Amino acid sequence: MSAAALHELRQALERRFPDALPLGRGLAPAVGTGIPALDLMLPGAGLARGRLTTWSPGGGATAALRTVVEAAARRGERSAWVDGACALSADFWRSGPLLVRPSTEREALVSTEELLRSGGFAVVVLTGAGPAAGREAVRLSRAARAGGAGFVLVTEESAVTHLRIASRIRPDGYRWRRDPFGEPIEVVAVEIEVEASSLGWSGRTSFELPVRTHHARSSPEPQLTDRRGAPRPKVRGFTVPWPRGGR
Amino acid sequence: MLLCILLPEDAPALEPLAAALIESAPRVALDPPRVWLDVRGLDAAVVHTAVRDRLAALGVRARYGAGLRPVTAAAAARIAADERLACGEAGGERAYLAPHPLDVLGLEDPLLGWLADVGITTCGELAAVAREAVEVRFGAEAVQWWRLARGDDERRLFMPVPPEQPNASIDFVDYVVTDPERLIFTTNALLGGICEQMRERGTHARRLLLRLPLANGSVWERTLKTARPTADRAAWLRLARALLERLTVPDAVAGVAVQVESTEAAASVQGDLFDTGFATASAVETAVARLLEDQGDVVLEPVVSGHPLVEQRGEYRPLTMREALQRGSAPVAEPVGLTLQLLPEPRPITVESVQRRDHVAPVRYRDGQWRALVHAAGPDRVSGGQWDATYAREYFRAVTAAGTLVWIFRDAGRDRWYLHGWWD
Repeated sequence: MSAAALHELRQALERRFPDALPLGRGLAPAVGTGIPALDLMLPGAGLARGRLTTWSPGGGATAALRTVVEAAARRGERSAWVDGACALSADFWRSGPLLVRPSTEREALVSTEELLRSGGFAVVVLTGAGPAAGREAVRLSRAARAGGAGFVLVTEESAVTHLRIASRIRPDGYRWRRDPFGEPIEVVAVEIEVEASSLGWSGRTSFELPVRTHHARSSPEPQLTDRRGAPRPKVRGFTVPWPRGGR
Repeated sequence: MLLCILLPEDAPALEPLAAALIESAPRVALDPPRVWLDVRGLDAAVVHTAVRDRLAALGVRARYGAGLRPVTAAAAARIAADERLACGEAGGERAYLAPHPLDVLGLEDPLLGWLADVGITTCGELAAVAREAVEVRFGAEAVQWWRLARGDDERRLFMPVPPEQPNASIDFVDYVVTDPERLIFTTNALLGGICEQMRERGTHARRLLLRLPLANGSVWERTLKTARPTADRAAWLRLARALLERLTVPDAVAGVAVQVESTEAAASVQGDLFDTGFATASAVETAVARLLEDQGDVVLEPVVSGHPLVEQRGEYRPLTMREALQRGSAPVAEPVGLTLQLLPEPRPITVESVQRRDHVAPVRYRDGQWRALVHAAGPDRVSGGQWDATYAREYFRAVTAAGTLVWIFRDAGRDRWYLHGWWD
């Protein structure tokens, strides 16, 4: 049965039996986050399917949510990340979830609704869609309900939500590798504190995540041009010699 | 049945002859000095008479042979006397060829001479020899002639005719249309018939050609293309609607025609119904196809180069439909951590710094408001760009009093500070 036909059937049943609770909805397990401490805290041991969860930006929200979408992919389910602000650095994205980068905020909302309504995704995350995402939260939550996907909206704007989550990192929550002088040289891990609240329920937990840094190719002095690996230009078949004193 | 016409050496150019022959048979193939006619389903004798009269009018006296296989038809043409039709026996090709000399196959010296030296002069004698013996003594080329001598000829002179692609059209005879809604209504009806035809054939369309003949005699046409081959009317109608709603043409529309341009076989993927990824694949395919059709290349994959500057290191490559569906279910294993988020452009900031051994280290920066830094690790020096714009940067990873790990750098060439991104 196609997703559209299933959707029509659901609507027909809801019209005919308005007080009935869909059995499948109650039995469908929540979307596991892949972070044991978070699963332990959340009701249903994960993010609710067919519901809107808002997560305040910053404080490790991206890292936690990327763990969620990758965990879904690892379980064999499908997940999608809609990057409305195009802020994700290409260095750190890994295959697994579907990465969608629309060119405008409006297209980000349209893409999210399409993915949510399809019924093929376990979890869809929308980031960087601006204030419009908060305004369209009701519409998007309806799409999530129709498709049965867990939907996480990274925003501070939404007034309507099933579960509201905020995370933060304390300034002393970073674990550093230090040099012989005792000065920090590299962040190794970070402790993220999470607070979640819903109607008549709240919870908090903390967990540690690693910090990924790209491999910077550092040069010894800023004023010296680092030519390691830089190709020399060719002019009419001849290789231009390095400038005197260059290497 | 094939009709072989063996033309004399002084025959005129083949193309005008072929143009004359196509009136007698549906398909003609040129193979100088022969011309082949596909007379399957026709009376070979009637076609022969028509062709003979036609060529006689052009002053060409040829020889004619007919047969089920090309080798017998060609041999019959060589054997035929004058312009009478000689026919190879249907189902008895080997027996028909057996008494005739080898040159009826078109065999020439030196192979003809070598075979004659060992006493093989007829097709039957060559066919009676073991294949291995022919191959060992006369080479691989002789095996081909050995096959022909046995009437074994699987050449396909005429390929099967591909079926006509589904198409539908309507002409507005007594009136013209200027309302896009009516055009969409008509197009929807035409698409319904076309999609039904495709479903019956088990094919999906890759492209559709939408043609609108105009009242001034010109024709407006566009090609519709979906992200994936489909026979879904709704998908094609969505594309046609998007096109027709923005339509601007110089005159009223006098008709609508829809033609399938290319198709592929409808394929069903086999899989495990209890695998959640497989069970929902079709819904995902539909959703992703709509995204690609409506918004273009928005499903992307990062491609990372080795460029020292992070903002120039990564690019995004659009994924095809097939790739997008595969990527969506690929497993990953390593834990995710805080990763770098980049600003679209490095943002200039004001920084207060202190001297730390051989470099300066930031202690607070102003980006709208002053933000104190409780830790600053660095500098990571990056420099280069000898052959284009040079750069020399000192990067610091710093933690603000609010707990955000930010990435700031000093442009050593201009002695300015920038905020480049943050970890989240």
